[in-house]
Amino acid sequence: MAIVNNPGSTPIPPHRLRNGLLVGLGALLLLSSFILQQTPELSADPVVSSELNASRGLAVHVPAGARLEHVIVNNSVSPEEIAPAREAATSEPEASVEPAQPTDPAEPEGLSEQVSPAQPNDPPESVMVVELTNTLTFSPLSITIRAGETVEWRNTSLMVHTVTADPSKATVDGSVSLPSGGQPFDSGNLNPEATFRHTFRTPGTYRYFCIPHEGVRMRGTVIVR
Amino acid sequence: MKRTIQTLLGVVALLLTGSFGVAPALAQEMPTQMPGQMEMSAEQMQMIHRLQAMAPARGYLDAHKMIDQPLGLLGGPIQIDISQDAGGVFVAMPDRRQLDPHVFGTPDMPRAVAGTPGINGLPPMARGEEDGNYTTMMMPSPFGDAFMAMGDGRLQINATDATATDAARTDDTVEMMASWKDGEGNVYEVRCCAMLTAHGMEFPTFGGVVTNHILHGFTRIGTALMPSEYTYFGFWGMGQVLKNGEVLDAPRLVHGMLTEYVRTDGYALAFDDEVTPTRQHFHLMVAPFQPVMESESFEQRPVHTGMMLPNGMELPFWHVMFENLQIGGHRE
Repeated sequence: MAIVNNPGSTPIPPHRLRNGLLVGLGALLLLSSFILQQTPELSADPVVSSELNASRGLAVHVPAGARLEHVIVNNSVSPEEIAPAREAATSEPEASVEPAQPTDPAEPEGLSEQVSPAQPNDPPESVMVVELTNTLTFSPLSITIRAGETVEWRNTSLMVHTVTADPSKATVDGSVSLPSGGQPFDSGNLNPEATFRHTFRTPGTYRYFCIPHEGVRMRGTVIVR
Repeated sequence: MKRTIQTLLGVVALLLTGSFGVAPALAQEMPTQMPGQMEMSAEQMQMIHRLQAMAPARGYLDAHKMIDQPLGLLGGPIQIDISQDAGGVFVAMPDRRQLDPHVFGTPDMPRAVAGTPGINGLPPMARGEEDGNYTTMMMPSPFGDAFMAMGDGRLQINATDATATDAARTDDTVEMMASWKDGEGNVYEVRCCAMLTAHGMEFPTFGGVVTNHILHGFTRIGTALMPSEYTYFGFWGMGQVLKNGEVLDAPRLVHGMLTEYVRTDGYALAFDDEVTPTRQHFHLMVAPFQPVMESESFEQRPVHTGMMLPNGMELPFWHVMFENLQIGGHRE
């Protein structure tokens, strides 16, 4: 690999760089074995996914299947903090909200709003909260509400996410489904700490997704009774 | 034959252990060249050279590396502008890559063997096997499914792809600044490129900048450990690694690429048939090797990232993904 000034000056003869580059390239993916061997305190048990406190600016994910024996985290998080997060991440129970508040029939169908972080964070009692996470999930994955109720999505992660139930913006089969009469909605980009609310009036099952993370199948479901 | 296999295993193990200061048993049996660096036997060096000589792009590179007046891109130079102004990044952690049969074949019909182990190809002895199929790479690498989320990712790239092929000189240009922040407020940064790679060694670099090409995976352009991925923009050059504004390491080889989306459920690194062509993300890689001009060679050297792991070790590479991008490109 010849390295030249940018742009267009005399190159370094390739033979000068060859041997070292080849050896060094091997190091690119091999050095990590040593690192892992030096982390016995993190090697106790199979690891699924874990998400740590987003406010600390850190989350770690190791995929399910326990192929990796170790978890490596920034030293701002102790290994002890990982264990509860692992347990919490192993299942996503469906949630429901009861009882619902009466709905004003005069309100428009499918009302949406993006709430700035400066606004009060506490939703009304009848609002169901879904979090957008660093591990690229909606939590809970599925919720059940009654017609006329509102769902609030909170981006508690470090990433930009969207809450999108608009078939025209989906590029992967299965990202979106709407019930008959259900209206599309899209939060737009939700920066960290941003919140989005949508009120559902038409019963049925709504499947939505996150646009930037459609490839990892970041999807959620709202079932409106 | 048995001796050859044992030698190759030794080479792979040496590559695994030879450059990072502390090494497993095999490395401890080897004579040391200098602290943190291993000296290979003549037989091992010969084996590595044989693997390197078999890299599939060798002939192509020989034909291009002395070209002093390379042709330009068909249609003229392309100007590329990419940025991220909000949101975090995903930082890859060491992990064992699942081996895609589309790229690596099967034990009775292996593919992607030659070239420097892990950089271009992967020798069969570095591959796990089960029931007649490859499973995972036997040692961790920067190319796997494990990751860490970090905040406040910023990216700014202004680049030009003018030179079409590998050559002795290039008119390509790249100005890149990338940064992200840990939970304690430390800012990590990579800047590039005062210099570009005009041509590659084991695989082409297209004058330092490439646009609208397929890389990695079956192409053997870059590591086979990444999926075959359509690349809208990619570059290779020398840059700097910083922490909190202080240059920790320079010059370092930096590679970046805007590609179709190659992560799948759980952020696992996709197999070729799992790639999402309709979404994009940008990958940044700072590799742990270093050119040494005085000795006309490269020296193995972990990247001084400044990011400490719980075991007291420093993360020795950066492999960072940006996924909230504004992307622009036009012909000049």
